[in-house]
Amino acid sequence: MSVLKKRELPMGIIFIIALLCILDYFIIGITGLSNIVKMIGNWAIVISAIAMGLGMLNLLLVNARNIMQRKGNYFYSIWTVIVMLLTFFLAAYGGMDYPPYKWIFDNIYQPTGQAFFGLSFLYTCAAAYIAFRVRTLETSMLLIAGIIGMIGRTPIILTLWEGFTPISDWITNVPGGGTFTAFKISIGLGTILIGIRTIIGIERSYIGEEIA
Amino acid sequence: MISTDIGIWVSVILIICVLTFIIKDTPLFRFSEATLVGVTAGVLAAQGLQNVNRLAWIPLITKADYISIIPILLGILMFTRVSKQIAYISRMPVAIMLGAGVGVAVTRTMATEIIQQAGGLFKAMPSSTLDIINQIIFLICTIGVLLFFTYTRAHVGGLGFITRIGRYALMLGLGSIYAGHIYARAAWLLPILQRIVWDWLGITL
Amino acid sequence: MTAERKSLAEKILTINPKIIMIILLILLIIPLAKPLALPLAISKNTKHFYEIIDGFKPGAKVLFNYIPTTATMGDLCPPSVPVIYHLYTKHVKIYFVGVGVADGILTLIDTQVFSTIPPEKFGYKYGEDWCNLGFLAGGDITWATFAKDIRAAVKFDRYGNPIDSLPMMKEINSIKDFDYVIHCGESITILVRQWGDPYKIPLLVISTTAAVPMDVIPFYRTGQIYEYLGGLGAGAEYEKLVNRPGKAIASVDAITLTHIFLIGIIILGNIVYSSTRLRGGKIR
Repeated sequence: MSVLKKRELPMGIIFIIALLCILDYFIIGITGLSNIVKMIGNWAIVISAIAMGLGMLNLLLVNARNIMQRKGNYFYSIWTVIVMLLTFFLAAYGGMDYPPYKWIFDNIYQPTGQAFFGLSFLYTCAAAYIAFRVRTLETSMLLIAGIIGMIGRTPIILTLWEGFTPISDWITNVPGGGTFTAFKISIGLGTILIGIRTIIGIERSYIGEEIA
Repeated sequence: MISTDIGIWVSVILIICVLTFIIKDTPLFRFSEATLVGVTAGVLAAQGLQNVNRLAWIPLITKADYISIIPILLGILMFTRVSKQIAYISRMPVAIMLGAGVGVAVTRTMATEIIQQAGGLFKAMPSSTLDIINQIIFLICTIGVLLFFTYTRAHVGGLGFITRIGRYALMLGLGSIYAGHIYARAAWLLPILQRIVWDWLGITL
Repeated sequence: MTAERKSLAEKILTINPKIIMIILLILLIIPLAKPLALPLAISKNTKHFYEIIDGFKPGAKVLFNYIPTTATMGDLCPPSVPVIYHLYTKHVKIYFVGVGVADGILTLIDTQVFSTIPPEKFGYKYGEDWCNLGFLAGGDITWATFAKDIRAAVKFDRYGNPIDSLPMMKEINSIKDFDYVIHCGESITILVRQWGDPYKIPLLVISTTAAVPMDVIPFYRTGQIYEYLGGLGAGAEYEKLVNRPGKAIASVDAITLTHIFLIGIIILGNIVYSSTRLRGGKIR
């Protein structure tokens, strides 16, 4: 069992599996290699699916601790655990199309989730009013691009002057396009860098160690 | 005509509980928050269960696909994370997922996000003067923004000039992103208001 | 001692954000109750998207990746309805699937799409003209596995039928066997990285409005995405093109009003701010 505790084991697994995936990409025609990579892919999908239950387990433990220790507003923790277990066991018992589960999904999960996300619109607009001020050249440019972007999505204002559409498109496609392309290239470089660091074992945060 | 459907009433009550946050952090808001957290965890776990059933359990039972037992066991090992003493066991399934993910991501990222995007900077010269000017501005803005995020040299002299252009392009781009976000978030809020107006109050178009 | 009275300029600049939020809520609700029928122009991207689908031949195989979330359904579900309606009218074979991190294919497609435009109403038979391959959670590896060999990723469809029992799956082994992919959701970078570029399959994307500048435009510029619809606004335009007004057209008026208000108060705030600064006044 002490072998499992060694950090080299997960690092070795990552290295071998990543190497197989990379070889499969570059070398075409080796059916055995292709089948192994497909099988690993299938395993990863199943493991991801099971990992979705880990969140529930973690939440259960955290809330159970709050309830046992009578910490703060532990009534909310009791309610959280009740609805969580009710939702899960209804789906486990009757499947995703089970009417009581669908009722919870359509009338509790969806509207409440949408309301939480929708609140961000109100706060974003209030923040826009406070933050979009002509203080420096940069903030002025941010303001102008933001206003013209909003005008570009408001057809009734576009009918007032036909020049708004080409200006809005120009900002989005030319300087904006340059920005977004630069972002994509930078993100791509970062992804490859982190990937290679993970493969060769420099990046070890997934095993709870600091970066080497 | 106000709806008599209990489901609509429950959803509207919860929506109003969430919207009370505009006034202040109320117990009603906390209640709706606790509800959402619990239901979300339950829904995600239920979907995970359904997926495991479909992808591994049913093939194992109906088609005697015994290989399917391996990912099921590996997935169960993930749950050892909750105990400090045996959490190290969960590193194995995490390593499999991470190795596979990193392997396919690294190979494809080079082609998609770097080569293709960099290649797009040097497209065939357009015919009209305005398009040529736009292409040049696009190229300068891209290089300016890329150089803006390099910190190995001080941004002075020629580098300072081009990174300043990059900063201005960044502001224009971020303004454009912000405008898109405002529109999108308004669209996120609309379904709950539609539920209140159309489904609950019965005001139809 | 009396408190110093705030000037009008200060009142405007330091207005309580809650007042702005309540006004925005009212402006969103009014058009839902009483439609304003504000003018709607068709953008060139929406028109081109429409023309592409209009050019689909009967029997073409279209993979429809449907992954809106609870958050993004307001921006993604309304445009997906007229697009799917248009696909029905072209008598193409539609393969619905949900590859990604969102579960829209499990529940939202039933409540948002099939409840308003059930496939059976257009003469579509399950297993022959349309199918639902279900939901696959995960990142790059899920997308890559599905694209390479569908049967390695999916063995049973959404309703528990073995996928080999569906007649329309006979000729489908990998993503190369589809004629088009329509993606409705986020994760656009992974879509292009794992499906579009390696297999050179035409990608049509229905994305959120927020994702258009950052995620869609760089790929659209280089031709990695063939065409896109940018959220609710584009959905309203598409409803106009297919002549089937729905939720998108009904919702766009509400967003237009809030945008007009927001543009107005930001400009007003800046006029007051700049004039106060020019006069050397203090802003608390």
